[in-house]
Amino acid sequence: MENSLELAGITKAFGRTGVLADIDLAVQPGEFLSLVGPSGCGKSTLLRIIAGLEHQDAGQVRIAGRVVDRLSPRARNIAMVFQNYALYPHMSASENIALPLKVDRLSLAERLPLLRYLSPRRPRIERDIVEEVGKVAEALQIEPLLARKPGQLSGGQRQRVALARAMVRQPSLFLMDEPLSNLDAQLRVHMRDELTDLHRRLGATFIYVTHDQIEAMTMSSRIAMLDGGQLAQIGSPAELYERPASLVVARFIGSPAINILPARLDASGSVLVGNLPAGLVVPGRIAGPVSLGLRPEHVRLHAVCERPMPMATIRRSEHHGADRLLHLDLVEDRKAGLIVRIPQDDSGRYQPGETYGIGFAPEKAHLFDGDGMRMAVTGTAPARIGAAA
Amino acid sequence: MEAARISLSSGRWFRFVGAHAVLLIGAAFMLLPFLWMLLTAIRAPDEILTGGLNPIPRSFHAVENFTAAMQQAPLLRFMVNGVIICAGILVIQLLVAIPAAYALAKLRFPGRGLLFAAVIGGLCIPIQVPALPIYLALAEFGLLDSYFAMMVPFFLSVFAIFLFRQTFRGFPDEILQAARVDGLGEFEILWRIVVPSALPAIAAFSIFSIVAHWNDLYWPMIVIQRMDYAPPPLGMLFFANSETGASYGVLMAGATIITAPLVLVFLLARRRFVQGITMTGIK
Repeated sequence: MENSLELAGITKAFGRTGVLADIDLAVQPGEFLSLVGPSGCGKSTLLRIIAGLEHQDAGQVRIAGRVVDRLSPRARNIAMVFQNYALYPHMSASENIALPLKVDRLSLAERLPLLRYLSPRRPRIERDIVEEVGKVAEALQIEPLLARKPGQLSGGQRQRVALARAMVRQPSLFLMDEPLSNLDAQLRVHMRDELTDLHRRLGATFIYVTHDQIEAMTMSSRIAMLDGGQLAQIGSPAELYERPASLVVARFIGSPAINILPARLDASGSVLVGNLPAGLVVPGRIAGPVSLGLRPEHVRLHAVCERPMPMATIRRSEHHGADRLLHLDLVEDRKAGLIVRIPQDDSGRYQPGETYGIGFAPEKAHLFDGDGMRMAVTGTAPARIGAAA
Repeated sequence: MEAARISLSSGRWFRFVGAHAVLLIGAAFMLLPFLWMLLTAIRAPDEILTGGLNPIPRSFHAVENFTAAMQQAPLLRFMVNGVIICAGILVIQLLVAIPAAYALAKLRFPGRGLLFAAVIGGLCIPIQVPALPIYLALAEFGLLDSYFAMMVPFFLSVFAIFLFRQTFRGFPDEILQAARVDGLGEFEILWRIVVPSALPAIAAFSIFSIVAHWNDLYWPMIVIQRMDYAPPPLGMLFFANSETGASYGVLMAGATIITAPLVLVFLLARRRFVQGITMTGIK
């Protein structure tokens, strides 16, 4: 239970605007949990509530099994890394890193100018602090930078100093608020790697807020997706990718984004795309519009159509290294497009301007009802369009 | 010469010269009284009223005037008084205004908007308005003729609160939150984290405050009767009446001596001053 975090019924509103509604979440010790969602979904507010920087209107926060609602951020034994690093501008890197330890171990009087020289134990404590700062700096390879002020550091270096300041107190919980979003693309990939590595070495619990689904997918043990102040889904990256609970999750996770085709459920429970049966059966639901989701890698292009199937024309072909992305327009409905991922080797076969039939394996399709919630597909009908041969 | 050396194109050269010509004329207007004060201070007495506008004195009388000023008037006493008053006012102003400005800029509490409106309102009230009630109160408590009487109306500077609030507002909230997570209390956050980054604004305000109160004649004249407590301008006034009569040379020598510290302070803090003013957007 040592580094666990539990949220129960967290609700928060700013004035009349509801930000978070009844969030329940349990984070296991040592877990790397990402909070993702579009901007304004409440993920940063939730993180600040965990930190104690904001207070929830209702609900409870428990860290290591202990209710911390009335505790100050400091007493919660957490560390936080901010989007803009939030280093103290007039202090050197080593002073920045040392500050949390000084606050922890020296009394207020021992931190005051002049008065502090009266304390006999201060020099010994400060020596220990310098030593610990040195160790953390060594672990993050920022020793040569310790004397510099934040203004003399690059973005990546500032980020490391901010991490060192978070690590130095050995907190049970690391809270990170989009820490990589101000770095350039290359450095971001590198820091992603370092953070994952750091998480493994420290064995601490990480709560990581990001709007970048790639960061969440690559680093987390679990992802909690927030949408409109509610928990849309929580699960492993694979679960969110393979079984998104709603249209919102399906659209947010995955790059390029999932293809969503407008479809219809008829009275018999069979799914129609255009007027063609899609080969999926959902009995017991009221007929009406539904959405069919297909990941780019799950779309099959058929040059020869054995059955009637939706047709699409290749508009553009993009080189993405190992694979190639084809942008297609549906022939029946020019406004609806879709993206298909194919291996680079096949690129010679698909040229812009060519028209193909759109097919897919039914078990790879995602179906969402009129409210955008996932529908269980119970069976496949015999007349399926473009089923894999 | 300057322009030629940094090789400006001709259009920019004219703008450069034009701008500097305007600035020079402005500077001349500002500096002329000081120049005249200096020139008068080094002239012989008979030349002061008869010499016309001739800037070059015919006979130099500087040594005589300055020694006379130093000997006849307790200039040092006046200046010590000035330092005590300016320092006392400034220290209390900063101690009061900085926390108030931080609260108005960064803390959320009911009535904040109203309080800030009151600060803005306070900016519009000159010292002459509360002068009489403050005088009566000081008289009632027997505090007239003291350093305290000269300082008390200025302890609370709404201008300082306003200026610092504008400065603090630009301070990133993230850093405050980081400090809270690190365990600092609000007062420590203010004095250790926020104030060091607001030094230019504090320097700018300090200059405003020191200049205003060093030169203030109005309020000391109301509450001070004894020369022992007189700040420089009031001291000069006493001095002009009682000792020198029409000896303008000596008077100007005294004025030169009491103005010098201000000019020095400004020159020393000039860069910070300009930073502070441009940073807060008050020009």
